[in-house]
Amino acid sequence: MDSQENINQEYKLLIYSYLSNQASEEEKSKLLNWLQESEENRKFYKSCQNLYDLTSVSQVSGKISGNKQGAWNQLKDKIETSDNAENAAKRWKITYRLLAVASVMLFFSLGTIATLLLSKGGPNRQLSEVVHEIIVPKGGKSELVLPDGTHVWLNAGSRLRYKGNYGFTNRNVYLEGEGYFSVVKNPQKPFVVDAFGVKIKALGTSFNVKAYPEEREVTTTLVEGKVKIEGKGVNIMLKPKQVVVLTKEAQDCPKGNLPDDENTTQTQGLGRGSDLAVNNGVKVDSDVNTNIYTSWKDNIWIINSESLENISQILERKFNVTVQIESPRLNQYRFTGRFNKETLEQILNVIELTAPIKYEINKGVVSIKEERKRSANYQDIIK
Amino acid sequence: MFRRFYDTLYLYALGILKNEAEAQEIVNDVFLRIWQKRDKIQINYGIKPYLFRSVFNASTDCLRQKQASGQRSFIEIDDQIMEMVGVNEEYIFNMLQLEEVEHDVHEAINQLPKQCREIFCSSRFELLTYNEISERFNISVNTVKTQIGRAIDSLRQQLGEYL
Repeated sequence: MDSQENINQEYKLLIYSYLSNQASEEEKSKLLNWLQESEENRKFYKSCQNLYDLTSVSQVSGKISGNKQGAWNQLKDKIETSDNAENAAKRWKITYRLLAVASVMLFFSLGTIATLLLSKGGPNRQLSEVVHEIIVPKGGKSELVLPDGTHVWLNAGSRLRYKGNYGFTNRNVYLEGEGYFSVVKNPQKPFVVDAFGVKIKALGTSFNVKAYPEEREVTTTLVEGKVKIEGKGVNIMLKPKQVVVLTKEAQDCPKGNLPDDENTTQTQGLGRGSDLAVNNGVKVDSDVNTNIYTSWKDNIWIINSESLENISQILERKFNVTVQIESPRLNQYRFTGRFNKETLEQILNVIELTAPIKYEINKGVVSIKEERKRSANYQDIIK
Repeated sequence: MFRRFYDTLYLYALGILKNEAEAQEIVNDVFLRIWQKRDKIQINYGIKPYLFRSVFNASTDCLRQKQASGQRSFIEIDDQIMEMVGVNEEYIFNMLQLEEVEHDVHEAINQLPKQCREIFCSSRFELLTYNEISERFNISVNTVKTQIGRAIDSLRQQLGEYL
């Protein structure tokens, strides 16, 4: 420990020199080597950097005034001209929006991923105004790696958006649909999934979020690590193998646009989460088999006592078809099973075997009808 | 507002950009944009974190753009160091939310022995180099370094709970 202290003595000044832009190339490589040596060294660096930043907050300064007067004059000039230019700028903005809409680019990769790069902004385009959008059409599935190394699997019929400053000033993504996230650890920048206003914050974990526009719920499943879920009146820390279901109505979720850059939003530490809050529209399940929720990413579909209604919703997304169920009574049938690479027909055949239904496929529309004869037999058996 | 925050923000931008002209331009830009958007801006946590956050965003965007366009102001080794330790972002914003921090930093700096404090302030706030400081105080560069080292030790001790 003492020797560590001595070493730190030597490096604190080197770090200071580096931060104040006075380090020679030689000193920089020395610092780099030392940083590569151990986590402990990097921690020490961090605390020195913190101190350096912290002192910049202090108002002791007030001595760079020569500079300041010039800067102030410059600013005044700019403000005067900008007030005149403001109207012109507005016109520019509109033109750029139109251009952006016109210049939407689509890349299809393996026929499953459509990447939409939408850039808007004027001559001073900011990274925070560039929006990347990944759309996975129905019938598809996709896997991608975000700029910080975070691995994302997107299920059929999903879209994920993030801004150009992702990984740099924040790690916020916006999800509609279903995604599995394996997040690279970075305590400085929490990873945040925003799904219809419900925020799932993580530092370095694996979790699944299901939030389809056509469904009423936002379901989060934690596989490992820690996540915090924030919504209207909700603040939950999840433990591994827990599932939280929030109803969108209870959240009166905003739809559509990306929120403005959250310049002033404070990200709270994960430390002081409340215990499981179970109130309106919130359901928490513990000790679940997370596979049921996440196996889709490995092309395995596990059905665990799901209603035909839910199953047909998944079929619609998985195979890009429309499913019509003739009688609402059929919706009540529940199924359990496991599919791997079965085709739509194979899956429907299995369902047909286990329930009194008949199906027809015609031009992308699956009609599911009740088979009265068998149905009657079933009723007898049940009785 | 400009008068009150300019120095601090400039120092902060300079820490990220390591380029005086750019730092000045960015701080100016941030003020300008605030002026232009004065009716629309919503400030939830006080002006100071907002300013710092804006300057941070603008500075890092600027760095990014330069790297993307191939004209790196950062030579490779700086990149590697940055990759090793990351950009110190959330820390300062979180600190700014705590009101006592600024006061404590101020106190800690004031408690330094006189010469030590003057040397540290010349370096940290006036951005003088070790050489320039040694000339101003008529002492050797080594003494300057020793004094700054002492200042760092003392500040680390005083402000330990925040680091």
